[in-house]
Amino acid sequence: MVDVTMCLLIFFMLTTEMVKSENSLIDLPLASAAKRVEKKDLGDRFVINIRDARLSGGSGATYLVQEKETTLAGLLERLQAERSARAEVNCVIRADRGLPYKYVQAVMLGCAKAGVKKITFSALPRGGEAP
Amino acid sequence: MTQRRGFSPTLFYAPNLASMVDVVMVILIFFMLGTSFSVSEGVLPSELPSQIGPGGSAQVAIVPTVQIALFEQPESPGCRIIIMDHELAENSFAALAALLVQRREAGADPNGRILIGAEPGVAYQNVVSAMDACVRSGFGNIQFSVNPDVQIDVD
Repeated sequence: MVDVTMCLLIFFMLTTEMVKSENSLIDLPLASAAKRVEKKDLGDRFVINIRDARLSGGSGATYLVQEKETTLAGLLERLQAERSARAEVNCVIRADRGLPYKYVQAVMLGCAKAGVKKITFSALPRGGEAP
Repeated sequence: MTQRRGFSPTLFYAPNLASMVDVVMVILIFFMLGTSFSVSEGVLPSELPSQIGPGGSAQVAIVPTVQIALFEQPESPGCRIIIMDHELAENSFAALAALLVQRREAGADPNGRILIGAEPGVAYQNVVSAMDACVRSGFGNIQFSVNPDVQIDVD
């Protein structure tokens, strides 16, 4: 039984690592109308994390895909590749709430160029006023 | 007749709980820490116009039901909210939601396009708040206007 429990423990540890690698720690915006959805309902998703680099003493924004830092050009290339590989891609944007909109807009423009029509914005389902 | 001496056989089969308790405690601590990672996240879905496609970000003519523009407000995390070329008297997203509800009650099509545009420096939270106000007011068809000429300082 201890062996089985250990197997379960290792399984959960590995699974959690997978979740973490897709969703980095982002200070998501608040939106009371945000709907809680299951991951499977998002379909073939491509999660883009955009961190406000000012929070870590830098400037501009940091783009992350599966916890790996990338440039905007690199990100758009990957987006294009995803779109070529799959018929429909749902681009999930997770960005820091204080981030200037232009960094998100650049990704949206990239989605338009790649032919990705579905864009989903992650938010915390709480009060939606500006902080 | 001699009797065999020794422990009762039942004692040999008693499980050693000491190691199992350790494992259970480890699992408990793991789940306690792990819960903080799984913050319940919500989503606001949106769709780009079907006219766009590869090589796109085409300049498409859109006639929105409602047009919302967000302008930067210097030295403030908030922004100025302009709806159909009129600035809101009370610069808040609650006022925006109230105005949208009024429009809906006045007969505006809930499936009509809402076009949100924002200046590059507006905080992302404000854009999401504008979108949130639209969804709360019953308008679900939200689209964004993007400026392809915006220069950004990444890379």
